[in-house]
Amino acid sequence: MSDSSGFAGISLLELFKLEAESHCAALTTGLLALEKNPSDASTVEPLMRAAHSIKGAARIIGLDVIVSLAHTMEECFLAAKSGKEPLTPPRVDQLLRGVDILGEVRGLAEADLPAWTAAQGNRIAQLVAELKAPAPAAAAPPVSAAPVSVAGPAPAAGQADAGIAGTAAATVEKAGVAQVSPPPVVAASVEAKAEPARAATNVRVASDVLNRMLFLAGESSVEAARMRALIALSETVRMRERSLDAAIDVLREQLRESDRRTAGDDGRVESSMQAVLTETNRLQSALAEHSLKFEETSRRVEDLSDNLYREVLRSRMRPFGEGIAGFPRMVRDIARELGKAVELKVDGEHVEVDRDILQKLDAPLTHMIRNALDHGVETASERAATSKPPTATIRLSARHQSGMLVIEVQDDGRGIDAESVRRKVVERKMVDEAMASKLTKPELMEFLFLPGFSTKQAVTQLSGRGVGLDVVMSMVQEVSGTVTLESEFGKGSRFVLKLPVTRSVLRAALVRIGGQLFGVPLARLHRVALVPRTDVKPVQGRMQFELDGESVGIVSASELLGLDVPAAERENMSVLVIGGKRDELCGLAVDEVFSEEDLVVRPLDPRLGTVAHIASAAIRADGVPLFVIDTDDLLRTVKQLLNDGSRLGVAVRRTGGVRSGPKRILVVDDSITVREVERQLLQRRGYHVEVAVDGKDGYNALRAGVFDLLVTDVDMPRMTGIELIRALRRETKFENLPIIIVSYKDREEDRMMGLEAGASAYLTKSSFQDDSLLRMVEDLIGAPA
Amino acid sequence: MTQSPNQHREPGAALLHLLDRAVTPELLAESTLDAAKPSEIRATTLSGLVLFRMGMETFALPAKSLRRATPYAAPTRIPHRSSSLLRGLCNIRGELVLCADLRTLLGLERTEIEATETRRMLVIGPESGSWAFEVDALLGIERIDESGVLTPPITVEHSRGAYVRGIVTIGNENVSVLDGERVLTGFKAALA
Repeated sequence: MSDSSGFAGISLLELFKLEAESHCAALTTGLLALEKNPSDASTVEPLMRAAHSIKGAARIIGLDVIVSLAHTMEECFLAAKSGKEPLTPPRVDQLLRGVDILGEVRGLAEADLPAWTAAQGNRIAQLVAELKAPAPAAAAPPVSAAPVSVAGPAPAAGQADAGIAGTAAATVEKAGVAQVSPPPVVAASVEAKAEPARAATNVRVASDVLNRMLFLAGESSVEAARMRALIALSETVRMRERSLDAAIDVLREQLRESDRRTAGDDGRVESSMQAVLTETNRLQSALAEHSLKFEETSRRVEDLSDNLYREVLRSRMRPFGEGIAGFPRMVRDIARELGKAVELKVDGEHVEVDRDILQKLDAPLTHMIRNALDHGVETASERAATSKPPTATIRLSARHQSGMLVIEVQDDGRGIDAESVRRKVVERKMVDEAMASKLTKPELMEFLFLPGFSTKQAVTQLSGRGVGLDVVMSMVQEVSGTVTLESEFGKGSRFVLKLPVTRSVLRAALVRIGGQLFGVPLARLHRVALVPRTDVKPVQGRMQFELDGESVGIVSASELLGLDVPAAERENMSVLVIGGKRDELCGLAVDEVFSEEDLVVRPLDPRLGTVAHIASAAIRADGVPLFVIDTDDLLRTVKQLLNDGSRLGVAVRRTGGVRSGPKRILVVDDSITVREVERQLLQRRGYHVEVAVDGKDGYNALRAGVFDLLVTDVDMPRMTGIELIRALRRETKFENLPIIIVSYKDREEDRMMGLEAGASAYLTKSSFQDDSLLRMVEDLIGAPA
Repeated sequence: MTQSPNQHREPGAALLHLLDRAVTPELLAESTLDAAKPSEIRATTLSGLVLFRMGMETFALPAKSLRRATPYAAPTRIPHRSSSLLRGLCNIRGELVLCADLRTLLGLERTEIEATETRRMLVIGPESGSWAFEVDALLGIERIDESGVLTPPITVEHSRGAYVRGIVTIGNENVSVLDGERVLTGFKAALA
């Protein structure tokens, strides 16, 4: 199921759902536009078509209730178009309920369909009956109405009662309805521009298919770039050919010489020489032509693949309008419910947004708009008292600004009283009064994003802006963005969200940590500093340096990540300063900072689960895989370690505390038998044991992992145990690693050599029998856990 | 075609002539005997093996368990995770694939000479659970008779024995046929 692409594996119901989805969206926007401007007959036409298409699709899958609903809706539109029955707000309500029912079908599984039809049959029939009845008057309050008389065979018509829509107006004769003056629009009017034709050209592609296409396109551009190397190669071929030419010239001279000496020149040598020369000339021009054409072609291919890559990348983008299609409806419904007059204005519907981000925006935007409606916007009478226009405006806009997607939600409601926030902050003992009095307005606004800052009381006090704003904050942070709130008391509020344009491409600083490349999201990078080693000073066992008058602790990134410590210590330390405004800053010492690059990030293989400190993976333009660092997670670890009182810094050796579980031992031996015996012996005692097959392998394993003890043999291929120990002791990371040599060699000079190299103990292989290995291990690193 | 010589006036004429020829009793008897013999082809199962070299030894994996073979791709270590068995992630044609070390799994000795020129990556396992590993050289695909795969002698080292399904002689070389599923299981243990 997961990789089914194309329509082959899709059931008829799925097809219906796909169709219903686009038509429902069209119906909603169209209805809202019509309500605002009922005289615009041109907008009815697409609605009729949408209802008609749904009817047809429902008929194919035999969903009779939907057929009748869609049919009735179509009739309503027809009546509206001919002017027989204008679409009043109550009528729009009914029609929107119809759209909701269509929406419900979209959420159903095939198996649940019969049950749903059975359960909802009456409700649908009732709505159909209401739609067939003349539209109720807008201003009339819902009353328990007498049975409605309905034209046509509507089975459930008799049950159409209860305050859904049966109203006094329903008893009015049809002719009379036309005379009902268009009701005042109390509800929201919504400015929804009719979606231009481009919406129709969108197609659905499964997102994993799109991802795969993106990877392939990326790979193709990497391969295309490799052709440049081939051009250099063909240049070499031409050079070789020229040397051959020269060699032939020399040969020809020598032959002439010897011909003259032997005087046997019958012209045969000369003519075959000529033939050779002609051939090499031809070869030369063929080669020249070849390399010229090859160069042209490779350049074209490179261009093409780059374009392909960019286009595929762009296909991940969706228009902003697509993600907010439900908002006009929501604003209308809530405003009607609250009896407020609100207009939702949308700008930048065509701004392109990454589909992942668009999806994630839904919840926070809903939140902010609901809050604005609920608490920000005043009632019409309140507004009149403050001489504001009676209809409030909520403005939702999207635009691209300096490489970021900027989304604003602005209302002209009552705004937030900064002083009230200040009191609240003191009341909740978050800061003392003296400090609170110094807080600026933007600083005060930041408190509103703290989880649980607003309590129930605060909702009324602070226009309820605190409710769930931490949700907004966490979404924004998740995609490496920022959110700010500006508000003027009495005039309104404005949320500004700055988000990366896409989540699939990350602007990152490329750094080398422990000899390996990593990406660090630029958005999370406070500063890159080159710190002279002399400026790094230990303070209470932690390494610190001064940055803008503040001291910032430095930790070694390679140690946190469990990688090698760089061999050469540079004069200047490259330090990435990370941490947000509210967090403490933290300096990460890295080997080197290279450049900024756009990385196409991809999620980690799910089989890996969560990898500490790693957010995602990416492939660089040169085809090398690299990891993107999760700076937030890294910061958490640093804080935790500092709280635990662990010494941690550039000069500290071990990454203790990062892991848990039994002590870890690496066993290095080229004999499988010895390796297995040692492994089982130690494992039975409860240690975690890993094995390596020779010194080199062991060295790599040690650098890649974290071990408490090394047990090694001496005589091994590639790198002997002695070489291994010497190499380890040269590195600060392994300076104090306990090492036990277990060897067949039991002469005193062998023992001396091992201990001189830096081994902590030297045992012979008989130690397996008498438990002296286990005793030694316990002596050096203690019990397993 | 109109000017073609007489003997080819009809395509396939020669074939028809051959098929229509009279059958001698001797030929009939010989053919009957032939047909009565148990067919060797029918009794054997041929299966494709991918042969590759690691160190001095030749190994084989059933061709059906191989997803793809690609040029060498250096793995990137995974912080906190990589070990001598789990090498890291490597870029296989634009996709990031987990990379394991088959030598470590089989407990092979490392050879002095690293065959960098001929190194290849082999990818096995299902799409959502594939593994890449490095081999010194890819030797090709050989179709072999299943019945020629012998149970490995007990002398085969313990750690390797778990992954070897049998030994088959190709040319004059003994090739260890690996069990794809068991190798996958072995690799998966690296994630634990």
